[in-house]
Amino acid sequence: MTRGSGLAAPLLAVLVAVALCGCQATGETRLQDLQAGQRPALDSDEAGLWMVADRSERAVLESGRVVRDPVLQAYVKGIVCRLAPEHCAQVRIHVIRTPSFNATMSPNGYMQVWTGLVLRAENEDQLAYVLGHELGHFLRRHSVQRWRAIRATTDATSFFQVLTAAAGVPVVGQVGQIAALGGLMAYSRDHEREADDAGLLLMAQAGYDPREAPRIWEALLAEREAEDKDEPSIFFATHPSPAERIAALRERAAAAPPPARAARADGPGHDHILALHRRAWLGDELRNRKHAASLVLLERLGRDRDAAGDVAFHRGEVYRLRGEDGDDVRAASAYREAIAAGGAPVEAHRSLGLVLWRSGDTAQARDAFKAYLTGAPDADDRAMVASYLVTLGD
Amino acid sequence: MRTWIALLAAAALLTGCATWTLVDGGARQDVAGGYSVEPQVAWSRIRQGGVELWTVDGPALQALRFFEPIGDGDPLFAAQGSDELPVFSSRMTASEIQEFVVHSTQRGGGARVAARELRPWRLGSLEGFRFELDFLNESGLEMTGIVAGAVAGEKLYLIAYTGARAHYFPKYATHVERLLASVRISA
Repeated sequence: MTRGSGLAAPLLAVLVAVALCGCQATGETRLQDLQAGQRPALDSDEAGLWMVADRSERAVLESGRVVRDPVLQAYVKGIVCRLAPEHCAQVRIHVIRTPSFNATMSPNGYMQVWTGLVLRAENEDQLAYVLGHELGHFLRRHSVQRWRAIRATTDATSFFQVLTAAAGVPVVGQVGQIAALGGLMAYSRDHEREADDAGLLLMAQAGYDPREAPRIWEALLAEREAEDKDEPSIFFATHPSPAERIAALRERAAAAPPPARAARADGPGHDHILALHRRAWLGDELRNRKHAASLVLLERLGRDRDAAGDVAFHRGEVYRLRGEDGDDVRAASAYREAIAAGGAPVEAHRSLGLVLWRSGDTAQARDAFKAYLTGAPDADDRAMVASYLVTLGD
Repeated sequence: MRTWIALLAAAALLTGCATWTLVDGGARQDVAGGYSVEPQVAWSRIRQGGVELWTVDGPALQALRFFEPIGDGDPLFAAQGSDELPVFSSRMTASEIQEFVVHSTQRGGGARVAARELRPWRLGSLEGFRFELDFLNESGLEMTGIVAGAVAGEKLYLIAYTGARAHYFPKYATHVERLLASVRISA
């Protein structure tokens, strides 16, 4: 999906520079689609690209960011196999624990799916569309097309930098570098449009509802607009304008016949996957510190009644961390809503105590800390919270 | 952005301003403009980017970091894109300072960052706190650590000892405990 980010990593800067150059280029030559099980000839430039991707894949696997959950892995792999059954064995899925919305596809058949994407997909159809888009890049062999276009249109230094940066894999902990390792280079806008078409086609053939495709971009656009920053998001940095993309997808989805049957991967469904991981992934979202975007996401996730307690708790956490005027009051209200709804973590009481203490409401802060200690008698920070009660005169 | 380790190493290499010097064991040392300690063994030290780093086996494997006193509105470490780094507030409780360290470590490139066992702890003459920290570094190496701190005069005094969980962290953990017990804060 993305091949760059707004983060200032040297590797990324090179890749983005090449990507920007490449957007002006028209040197891409259409190749025959990848056949099931096909590997490039060993003496070809495409084989070299695969070798670089192999090294990148190993680096990502060693980065510690891959989610080792067989249920989640089987769920995502199941969607891919439903979308492209003949390539099922060839595509390797690595779910990456990173809160941003993103997925990448490498020419050698490994796909990164970021947890921030799974969290934001409202249903399996939306996730299937994004995975289908990535498969589109893979099946159309966009990487090698792009590689050849870059080589033909940029100077030798840039070419060398891209190659060595990707192959050297200097550091893999950074979000932007993880993205760069996944995709190696940015695709052109034409390739993105072609991948969009492929994603729609694959999802429709598999029985997913194409009308869900533009909806995930609309949700992402709402988050971006809430951020109100000039800096492009990791996704929007290298893609056609979101408005243009949404309009095109709506038009094409409307023209597609509705699915004859609802496709669903075997095993637990999307809601079950979210129920298993939502709390951890929302915790990651908080650490991303994009507070305005997080509030938009939480509003959307809060429509799921089963998630109400968790979502309200994290909304409180966003307000508490943001700390703007009135946020302590908003946070306290959200924590109380979470506690009333049920299903919130016991830490809601502790966080409520913290904001009430900061607001000067010591009596209610004490009550909240006591509720936390009652609810979490084995909490590993028990001594610290007990010391707060002493400070508060309990 | 960089982790503490990469940030310091890169800065030293690029600028050439900071140099490594030897800390002799057994003599009280002034550190990072806010602390003094009595090391039991010899360490190598370097001061750069608001942090004084001590190590025996190399900062990628094991490091003791003394953060220069952190004021209101300051991040734990300076980095590009630091507008998205959390910043310290002297109104923070120990729970929030722990969160500040965890989020900073994650934003700086650590993965699966988790803190545990936050508890009251005396840092020199100050009533402070202490917790344990676990994370994976950029190479996926399992790291573990101790973080101890206290707030005085609206400044955060913070010391972190981290190392590879296998071998390097435990190798000098006992020395670090003695060193932490010897801390004096010059607030």
